[in-house]
Amino acid sequence: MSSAQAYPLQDVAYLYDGTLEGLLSAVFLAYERHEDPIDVVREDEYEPRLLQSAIPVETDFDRANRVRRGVERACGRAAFTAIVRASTCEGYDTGAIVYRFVRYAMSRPESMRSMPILEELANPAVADLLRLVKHAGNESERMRQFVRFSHLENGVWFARVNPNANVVPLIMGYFAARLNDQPFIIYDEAHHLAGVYDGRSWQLVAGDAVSVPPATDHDRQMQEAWKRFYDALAVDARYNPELRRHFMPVRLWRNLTELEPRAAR
Amino acid sequence: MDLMRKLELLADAAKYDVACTSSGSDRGAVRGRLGATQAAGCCHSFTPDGRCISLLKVLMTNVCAYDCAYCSSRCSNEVERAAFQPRELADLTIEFYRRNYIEGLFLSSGVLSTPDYTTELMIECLRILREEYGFRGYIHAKTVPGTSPELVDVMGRLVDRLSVNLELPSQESLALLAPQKSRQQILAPMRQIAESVAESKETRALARRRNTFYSGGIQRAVGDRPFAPAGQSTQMIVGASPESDFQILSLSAALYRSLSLKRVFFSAYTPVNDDARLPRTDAVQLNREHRLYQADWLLRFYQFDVSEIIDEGSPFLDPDVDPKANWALNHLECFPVEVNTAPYEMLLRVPGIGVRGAQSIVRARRTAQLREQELRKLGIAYKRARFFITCNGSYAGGGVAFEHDALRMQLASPIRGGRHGRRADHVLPGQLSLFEGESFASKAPAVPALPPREKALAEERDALLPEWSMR
Repeated sequence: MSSAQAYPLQDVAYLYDGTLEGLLSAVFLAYERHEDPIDVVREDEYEPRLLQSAIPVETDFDRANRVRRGVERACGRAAFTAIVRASTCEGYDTGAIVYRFVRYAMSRPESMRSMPILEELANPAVADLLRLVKHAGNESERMRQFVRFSHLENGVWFARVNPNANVVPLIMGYFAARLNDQPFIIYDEAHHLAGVYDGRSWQLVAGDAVSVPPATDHDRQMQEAWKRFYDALAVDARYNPELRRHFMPVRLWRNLTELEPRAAR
Repeated sequence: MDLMRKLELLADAAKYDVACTSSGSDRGAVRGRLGATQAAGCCHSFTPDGRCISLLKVLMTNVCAYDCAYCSSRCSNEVERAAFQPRELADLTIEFYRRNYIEGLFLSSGVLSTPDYTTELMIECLRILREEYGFRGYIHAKTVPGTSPELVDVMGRLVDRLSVNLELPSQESLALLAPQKSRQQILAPMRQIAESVAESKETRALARRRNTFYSGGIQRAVGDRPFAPAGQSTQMIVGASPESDFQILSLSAALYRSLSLKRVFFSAYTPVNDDARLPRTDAVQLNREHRLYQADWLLRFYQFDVSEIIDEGSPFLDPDVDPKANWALNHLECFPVEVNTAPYEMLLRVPGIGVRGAQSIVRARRTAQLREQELRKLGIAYKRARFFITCNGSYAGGGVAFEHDALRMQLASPIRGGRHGRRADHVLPGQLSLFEGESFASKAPAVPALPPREKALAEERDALLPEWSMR
């Protein structure tokens, strides 16, 4: 560690734990150590570059909060919301993109301050972040479309999803509002994260596996009804499977009630 | 009959209704009540043909007193008939909604005894949903032609969107193919809906404003609902009757203008009945439908006037080039435009730059000079746009002559999705075949003798587009 401090331009990578707080702590550390890391990566994904030193980052809520306040003071709430959304994305460079965005946000020239930072679409630091924000937005929309609840024997509504970004925290509010009288769980099997709504408020629970009681008989009937409805709607003369795949990617089919048997084939 | 079979029959009968949008209505959630809507709508699934399923789209009943040539539920067809009980359908809607299968209900119906009786059944179902179950999701209802205005008014206050099917683009075709429906029967409720929507909007806007001069008299009653807050839409069948694209687009432009419709849907005629009044073809004019929708988008989002898209002289849209590119090719004097200074309206006219792209350009150029690299990042189709723009004065469309024919070659693009289904342009009879043995004669036995109406249309089309000639 001390050697890195002695040579501030040395090639370093910061390894964080994959959480937003960890990522923001990493950003804080870069300021503290006067370093400019090339990579900011989740520790379980890190692939060392030649001659690169790796520094593990300790997740610290206070430090993360200081970064949040700093960004909000310099560029407003919307900029921080964008960071939150972007940080849900998978991908090796997510951390680095967020880091570079914060760097730019804190060092914007005075002359630009009158314009919201997210309007600077042609700036590489902003454009990269907006690309992630868009991806997270698209994936959230897919979840709003394709979450399928089933009613379990213990009265809970349960849905299993496999998004390619960690978006369950972004969609819980939406479902908790519109289905506010039914306790439900949305379990993300790709990120091992469950959003749990108990009828009053929602929270996130991390867990590697989930075991749930079977669905009620009535629920199985409704699933059958939905499948029959889906099949009845097809117009053979217009058959266009590419278009369907475009709107409804095959990777999501296995958790879609109406396509279940087809996904297995 | 069990519920499953009913659902299957009544969904099957409703599937040719095109509209399945859940947009235009923004109603937040309320604690203790089920459902909410968002302005952009939400598609919950997609059929094998790629159409979106956003609502539980069913008929109240497929029993019908009318005998429209193109409809599978017409009274002269021998099909299995069924009808939902209002409560049964309301329950099913709630069950599907709780599982996030749907965004709400789309309710249409065949005519069971009289239009008013049918509408009362539909209203009962919607009333159960809205009043008993407190459902706040999306509801789209079709009015049955010939319903009395009082019932339309009741219905309008239960739904988000109300629509009346125009069915066919002209009065003559309507008289021929749907003899029991009249122009008056269709236009009267459309006018009524347009007026009620406008009035409801105005009243509510006034009631919201605290310090208005009028506010004393028009306090909103508790539980008073707006009339069809997501407006009205309509649909017409394309290809079952001889109208040209020019007539169809002029009609839809007039509808947008005079009745402030939210959407006009086009449905490529799909043969379901054997009827002498209908075109004898197995093909579905999907590519024509696609071009019509492109033109429709130009009318609604790109500030085009219908006269700029199509004129009486060439009344059909170009099958090879989309209507926007076509306009650009015919107005080369307006191009190239400088992306760093051109007004928004002009950017919208550039092929390859859409509404999003134009907005992004306007935002981005306030802080940066845009060159190719930046434009590509903004998500515009640079490959197409480069022929029509300059970036800081430099033109990147070099290598291709800046004239109509050369650019047309660059912009011509076949419509994707032509590999499946009974696409009208899928197989061109008479086109060269590499395998003589497999002549098309077996698939498309001689061009059948066309009825005079069809013949006139075919001649018109042949004269216009010799390369698409059918004979």
